Amino acid sequence: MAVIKGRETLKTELPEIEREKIIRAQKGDMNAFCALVDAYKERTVRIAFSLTGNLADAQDIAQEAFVRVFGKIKNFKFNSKFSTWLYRVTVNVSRDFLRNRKRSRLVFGSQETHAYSVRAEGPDPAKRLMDKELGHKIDNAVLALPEKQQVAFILKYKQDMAVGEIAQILDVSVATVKVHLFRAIHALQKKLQLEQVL
Amino acid sequence: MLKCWFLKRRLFEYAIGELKPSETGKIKEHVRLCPRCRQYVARIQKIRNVIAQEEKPFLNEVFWRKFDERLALRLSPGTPESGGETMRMIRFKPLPRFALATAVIICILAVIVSIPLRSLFLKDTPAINEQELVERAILLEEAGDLALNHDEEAYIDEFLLQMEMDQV
Repeated sequence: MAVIKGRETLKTELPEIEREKIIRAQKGDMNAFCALVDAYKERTVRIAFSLTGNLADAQDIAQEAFVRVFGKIKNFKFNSKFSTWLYRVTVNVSRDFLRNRKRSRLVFGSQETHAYSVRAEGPDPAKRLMDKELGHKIDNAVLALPEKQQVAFILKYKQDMAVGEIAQILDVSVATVKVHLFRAIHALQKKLQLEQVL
Repeated sequence: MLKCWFLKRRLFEYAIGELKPSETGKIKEHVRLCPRCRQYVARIQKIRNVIAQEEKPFLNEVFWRKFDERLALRLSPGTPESGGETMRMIRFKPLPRFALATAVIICILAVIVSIPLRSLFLKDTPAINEQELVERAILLEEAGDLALNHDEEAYIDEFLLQMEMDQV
């Protein structure tokens, strides 16, 4: 596995089967690439969904990410995990999408698409309702964060990624990710306390 | 007990679950004894718990079949979409920075060019008044009410000469 120290990434030892699939895909074997797609498509769609809050957009973003990765797979040098590279592309496509959506929202005043819903199970309906309200407020507060803080926060809490993995995906140091998270959580706490929901 | 300020960074790492197991014990002990730090950690964990309860989208077989079909279409060589972008993505493609930079440069150049033009325009406008002023100055001088210095006299002479030449 990769050893990460700040931005430094050493040669990664991928599982032999995955390495073989990548090499075959680099030689133009479509079946090998399809196997890679099958292995990572669900996580890719979920990352895009957590960043955009819309499944149709998430599907488009994931497809765009796979197309870009397919186009550049010959340049993949095994310096990182294949998944890290794919998720980095996904995050970058999502960021472009979010920037454009923000721009179009400024122009056309469109609505937020983040639809928060809490899992139906759980014993206490009143608590569920309160959590749902808090969830909505957290989502809105997250949308108001600066882009880097927003992405770091979503990858950490909605995708349950470790700080090291987020650092690799965003191509920044672990300390930088921690700073983004600290600022994001501080801003969220401040906002939620002002609204007296935390 | 360790001081709160000393633990501040570690406390945050503890709250987000990124602290080394070797350091967790000390922080846990401090959080147990310090109500303020306990509240801080609880608030962060509350946010985490609420997000963890968020319903994940259910991706069924139909979704994945459509996904695979569309992706296969885009990846297959020779199709219009292969290696390209879907209409939705084209719609959201960011504005090229080059175009934006060009627009800014054009605006700056327009401002720079407009300044001399404006001054030229402003110069032309009082030229009509200038004639009146000179004529008035001549009248005043003839009436002995105005003492012109050498430069002003030279200017008026030149002006009169120009008028005569124009008439010719």
